Amino acid sequence: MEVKVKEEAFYNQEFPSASVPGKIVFQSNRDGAFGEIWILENGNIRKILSGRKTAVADHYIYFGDTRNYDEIEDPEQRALQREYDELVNDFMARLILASKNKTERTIFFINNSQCLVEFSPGYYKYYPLGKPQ
Amino acid sequence: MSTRWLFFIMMVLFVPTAFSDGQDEVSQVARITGVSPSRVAKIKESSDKGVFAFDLVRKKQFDQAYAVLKTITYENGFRKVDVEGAIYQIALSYKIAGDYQRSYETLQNLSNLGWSNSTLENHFRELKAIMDFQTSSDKKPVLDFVEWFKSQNKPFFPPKGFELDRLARVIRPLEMANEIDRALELVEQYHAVYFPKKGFKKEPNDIMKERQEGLNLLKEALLRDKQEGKNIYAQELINTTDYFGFV
Repeated sequence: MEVKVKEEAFYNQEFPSASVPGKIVFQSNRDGAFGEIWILENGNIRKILSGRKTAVADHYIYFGDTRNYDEIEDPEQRALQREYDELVNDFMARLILASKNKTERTIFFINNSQCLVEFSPGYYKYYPLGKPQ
Repeated sequence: MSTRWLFFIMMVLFVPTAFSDGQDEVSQVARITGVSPSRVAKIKESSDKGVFAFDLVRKKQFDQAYAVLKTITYENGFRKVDVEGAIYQIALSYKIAGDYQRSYETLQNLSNLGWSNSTLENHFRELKAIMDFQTSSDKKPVLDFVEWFKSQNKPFFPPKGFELDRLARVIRPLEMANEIDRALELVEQYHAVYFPKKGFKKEPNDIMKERQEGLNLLKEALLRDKQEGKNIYAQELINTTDYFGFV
């Protein structure tokens, strides 16, 4: 229930709060420059190099310095948003670090099993604040 | 040349290289994600410890593995995901070590920390079934668990060509309960997918080849059980190799 309340309190609803059907896609958008896009699909993590694929990706999660926290007036919501963004950024760092070999990916899935739901074989939904009970 | 000098030269030669590799990776990930380098370094440390412990478990050096994972604490600067992930890895390691009671208790700790039932329930059921079987020699709890697990993972039973971890989750307790024929029946279903009679249209990729290899070894292990009247070889394979995930 606590998680649900937090999800509802999520500030910017355009920012995907939880799941991306079929794949989890992350886009690096540091300094406004087009950056790397990484994808978690079929249990494998890979970097997308094709521009065409980036255009049709289901969602992007932007991270880095893209959010203006001063716009969030409610201090509680601002804190929640910061917490949420930190979790997403942390997750992304883990994802990239785990992309080198199979054992690292296994550890990645163990460590993140509380926030990843496999909704069909090899496809995951990501719940930064913990998956629903 | 004194040992001290030799040690110094070795340090000069090797340490900067190793450090710069790890440091480069940390810097790169920090740049991509916007996460501070110190935080990325801590995440990497947690991951490295997990991988190290994973290898120790595969070698059955369980106490050393637990010791490594137990250093991932809040006091040592790790965050919730790292700390609870390490506890989860410890619980799975206890299961692989055959210490089912401690595995159960450790998972209960995670449940008390608010972990969802959807993550833990399948483990609780599996462990309870095994422990009930061990105390009563009644196979029913194991068979009930296997049927329940299959019902919860329908795309995998019968499979359409997936990874082998779900299969291993049911083969291990079935073998414990001496249900070798039932286990073989499930392995055959996977075998039919991974070794189609007409063959594949194109050369199987490396992942497919690895799964084929794992599946063949699993089948051999069960056949060896049958031949020798034992029930140990499949579990040994699942617990000590990487074909079936960390289950």
